[in-house]
Amino acid sequence: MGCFYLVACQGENSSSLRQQSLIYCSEGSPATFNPQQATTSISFDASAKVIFDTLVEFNPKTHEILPALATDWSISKDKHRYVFNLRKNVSFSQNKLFTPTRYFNAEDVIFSILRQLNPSHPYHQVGTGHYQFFYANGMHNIIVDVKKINSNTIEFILSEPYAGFLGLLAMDFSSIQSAEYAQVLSTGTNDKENFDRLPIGTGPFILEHYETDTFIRYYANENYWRKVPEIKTLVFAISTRPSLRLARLLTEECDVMAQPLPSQSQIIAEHPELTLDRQPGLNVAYWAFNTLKPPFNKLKVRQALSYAISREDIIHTVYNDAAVIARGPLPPNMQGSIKPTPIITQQFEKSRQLLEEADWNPDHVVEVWAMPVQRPYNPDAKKMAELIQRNLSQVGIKSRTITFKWEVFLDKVRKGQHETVLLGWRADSTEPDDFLTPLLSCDGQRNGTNRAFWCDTQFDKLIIQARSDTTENRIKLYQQAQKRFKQQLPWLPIAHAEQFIAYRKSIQNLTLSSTGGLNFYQITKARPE
Amino acid sequence: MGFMLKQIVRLILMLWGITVLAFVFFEVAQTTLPSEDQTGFTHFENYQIFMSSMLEGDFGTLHQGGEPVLTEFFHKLPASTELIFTAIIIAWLVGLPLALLAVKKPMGITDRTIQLIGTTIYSLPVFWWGIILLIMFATGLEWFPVGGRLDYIYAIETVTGSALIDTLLSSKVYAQEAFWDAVYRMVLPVTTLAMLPTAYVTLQIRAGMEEILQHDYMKSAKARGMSIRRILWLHGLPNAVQPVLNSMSMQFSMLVTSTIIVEFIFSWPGIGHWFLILIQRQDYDALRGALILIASMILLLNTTTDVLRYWSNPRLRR
Amino acid sequence: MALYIDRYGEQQLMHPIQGFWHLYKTNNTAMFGLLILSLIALILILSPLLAPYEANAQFIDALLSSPSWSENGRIEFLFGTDDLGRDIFSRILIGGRTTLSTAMLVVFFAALVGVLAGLISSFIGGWFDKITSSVIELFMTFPSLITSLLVVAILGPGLVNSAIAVSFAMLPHFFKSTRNAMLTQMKKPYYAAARLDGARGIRLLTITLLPNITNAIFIQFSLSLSTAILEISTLGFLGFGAQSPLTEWGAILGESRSYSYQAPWTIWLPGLSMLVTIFSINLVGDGIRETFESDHHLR
Repeated sequence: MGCFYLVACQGENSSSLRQQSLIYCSEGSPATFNPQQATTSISFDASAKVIFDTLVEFNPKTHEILPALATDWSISKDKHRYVFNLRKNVSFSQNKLFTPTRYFNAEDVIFSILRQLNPSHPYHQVGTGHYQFFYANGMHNIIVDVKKINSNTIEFILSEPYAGFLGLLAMDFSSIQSAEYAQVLSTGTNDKENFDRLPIGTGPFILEHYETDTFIRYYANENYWRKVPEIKTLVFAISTRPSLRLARLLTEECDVMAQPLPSQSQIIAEHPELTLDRQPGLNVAYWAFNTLKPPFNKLKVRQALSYAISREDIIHTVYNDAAVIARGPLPPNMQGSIKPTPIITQQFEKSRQLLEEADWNPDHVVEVWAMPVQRPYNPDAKKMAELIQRNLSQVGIKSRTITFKWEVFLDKVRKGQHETVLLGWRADSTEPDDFLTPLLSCDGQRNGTNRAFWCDTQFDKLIIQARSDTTENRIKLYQQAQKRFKQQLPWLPIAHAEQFIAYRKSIQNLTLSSTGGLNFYQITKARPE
Repeated sequence: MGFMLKQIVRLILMLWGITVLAFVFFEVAQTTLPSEDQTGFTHFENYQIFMSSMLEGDFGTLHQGGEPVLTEFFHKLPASTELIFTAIIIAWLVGLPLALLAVKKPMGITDRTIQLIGTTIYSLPVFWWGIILLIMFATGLEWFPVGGRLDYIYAIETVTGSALIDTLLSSKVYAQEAFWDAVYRMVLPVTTLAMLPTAYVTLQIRAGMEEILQHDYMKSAKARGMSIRRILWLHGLPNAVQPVLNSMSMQFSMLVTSTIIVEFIFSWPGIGHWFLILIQRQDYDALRGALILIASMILLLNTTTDVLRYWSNPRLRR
Repeated sequence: MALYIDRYGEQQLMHPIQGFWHLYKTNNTAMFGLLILSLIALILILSPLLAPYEANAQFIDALLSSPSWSENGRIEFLFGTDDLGRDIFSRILIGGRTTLSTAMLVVFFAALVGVLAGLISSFIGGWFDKITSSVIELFMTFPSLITSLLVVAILGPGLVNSAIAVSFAMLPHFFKSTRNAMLTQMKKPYYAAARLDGARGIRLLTITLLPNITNAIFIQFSLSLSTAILEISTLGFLGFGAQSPLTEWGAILGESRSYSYQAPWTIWLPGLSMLVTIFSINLVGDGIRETFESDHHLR
């Protein structure tokens, strides 16, 4: 009522609203707000680091393990027991269904682990009931028990010494949920399904509204245990098409743009109001052959197809040269990555010869499944498929591109309905096992994360051995495993892409971690001059 | 009364027909698809289940998210109707004067220009034109935003579902600004959407007027010394507008098609955009519900215009 | 056409097609449209010879090259290139061939089935006709894009499937216009006379009625062609139509949309080609309709 000059007042209010808001043009709709059940990085981005916290976390640049909800920890001599001291006075957020009566404690950790681990847990079947990353990373084999020592101390008992255990706890699927909220929703007329739809976490932001396929709005958590975010309103403006994201960034409808296309990088870099950050990424894009489907069970067929492809052209055209040719499944900046070995180059003669030796049926039309979305490791799979199709036709192989909506696509690929597929992987850590187990192990074959459905006893033995090996020998084991991979070629590794992020110059303290995720809580916005 | 009763019976029969048609369509589709859950019911039993759940208001649920289709439909509907009705109003506001202007001197330079533009608009691919407007006025000149209905930072309470009305009703400090933002965001999509109906209204009324002017009663009115303007307004217009009003339902169906494209291009969170997402997700259960709801809406609208026309036209009533 | 019933002695020697052309010629706008359309048709028919490159030939060293007349353009790529370094001029020519020929097939198919069904239904009449036409009317409450989208959603994307989808959505219009024309003709005295003369069945349908409704079918046909082009390219644009390696106008625009900001010519030029083509088809269609309507002899 104190405002007489209406226009001026409105101006002031709106500018402060805008000043304290951050609009992030994200690349897709989350399937869930529960990072335990998320399968795509879109879902992780919208839930994990925004709404939740983990016990420990990675330094985004060095990947060293830092305390988060756990203040410190100790590991027993035999490396079977991990004891964590939990942070005190951390509160969960509240919503219309739930107001917490206590601080975060050991019960919440137990709940979050057991919900995933124990199939008879009352919340196990809530949501999709699938905990892909928990199982793909073998957590069910590693964790024997989680015990409460006191309300602020917790102990994990492992089945075997596992070098990367802390890393697993820092990953998004290990986010900590509220046991008290779960309990409230189990009583009376409440619906358990709301647990993941209206998530409650300890994280820097609180989910306010999700308009399906349109936008997600979060408000700052004013009780956040770290520094309270300066951004009071965080919006994910869902913009699937990269051109739309760029357009929104240019017209100031977005402050930050997820995954600019390599081909857009020049425009962004030259624009006076925009910043483009780029760095090598921890990822791989590959062309997997379904080794369960003939004729791709033949090594010679897989080799022949691989020799037909010019990855140099792919990297130039699809990645705009912002990627390196992959020598093996592991990116070069990861420990245990294979030492430089000859790259498979395009050799039409060799390809044709191998085809002949493999009795290739020239009428067979190779299905190249190309994912419909842009991913950090592959900005445009359809374009990549076109290049591949062209190369294949040059050695006389017929082919066609197949694509579906992303969720449908993933589901079908998980079931192994494809012949060959263009996919990739973005790591959460520098741990080689995070790549090799889900992507190439027999466990991964059962889970469907191994898209080549390749189960090789020799390879599996090497990576299992490496997993529990804490000596220098570990690196050697991984290199041997990669050699085996190169001999068998279940997929043609294509590229390790650079990671990009574009934002307006007014955005400060934005860091892109090498795993691709963003931490929104540190971001600040400069006042316009 | 007889007329109303007949209309109601017809409406009910047509609504029922739509459910049968949609059911058969998807049932046939399902047999061609590799289905994972064979229920073992006969088609008739399936239809019974389908009908009874629909009568209870269950139009299926979304595969992703699990919301009921009905809720989602009514949630997305206002965004589309806001777009469509604004476009229709603009079509008449612009089309009518243009038609009058054109017919003032038939085959004159103005008339020919208007006809040429009209035919050009008929030939415009809507999806192309939308992108051209975006390139020119959004990313090019930066006059308008590239999409969306309201800046996402505004948390406006939903009352009517119309962004324009809700922002006016809101008590938030930024309500007024949000209103102008909503108006702003409508400019490009409404312009794209209104092109075709505007051309339609203009050309149809122009043609109708021209024909009427040839009639003897018009000629005699002119001979009696009535001014051309009076002739046009008093006699020509009502007779020329009638057939265009009659074809409103056709126009509406045409508009729905363009709305889908416009919503897609301008990221407008309405029914059309939603429908495309469902198609891409291959969510057949939800699509069946959505199809029935969309067709029912169109049917209801058509019946309403029929009834209104009947009541407004004494000749029909007799 | 030899059975054409002529009522005016002095024009007896004029064949109806001749008579039509005689009138059509006087319409300048329509002639202009026909000229452009013929030119486009010629270019598209000869496109394999005219196109400088294959539609999918990729020039990796010339990604998103500007049109040849602009400052950064290259002379060997008249309309510039897309993000795979493919020549846009060649793609427009070859894509236009796909779009236009598919549209024509679609209209032929829809006309064939729709007209046949309309003829049979209205000729049989009674309850059968009532039910059939109500079902068709119901069908028409689904907007055409929704129908065709649903069909491709079920059949899967692809040029053939999108053609089926569009024909499917277009069918009812042919049914309806045929049926309306039939009903009008069946009220006329000559029909009653023919029946009284003992004409029955197929003979009555094909010899007495059919020649008198060809105009209505023809008008519907010419109106539908531009609609078919628009609908096929819309499906292509939305990604449900022609899939690579096939090229089609809508699909070209759909792909270009992702770099519309960097390379606006990849949007402008294919779209303008479409506009000119549809515009000329509309001019010819209007001309045909006006010719039929202006002359009672032909009506």
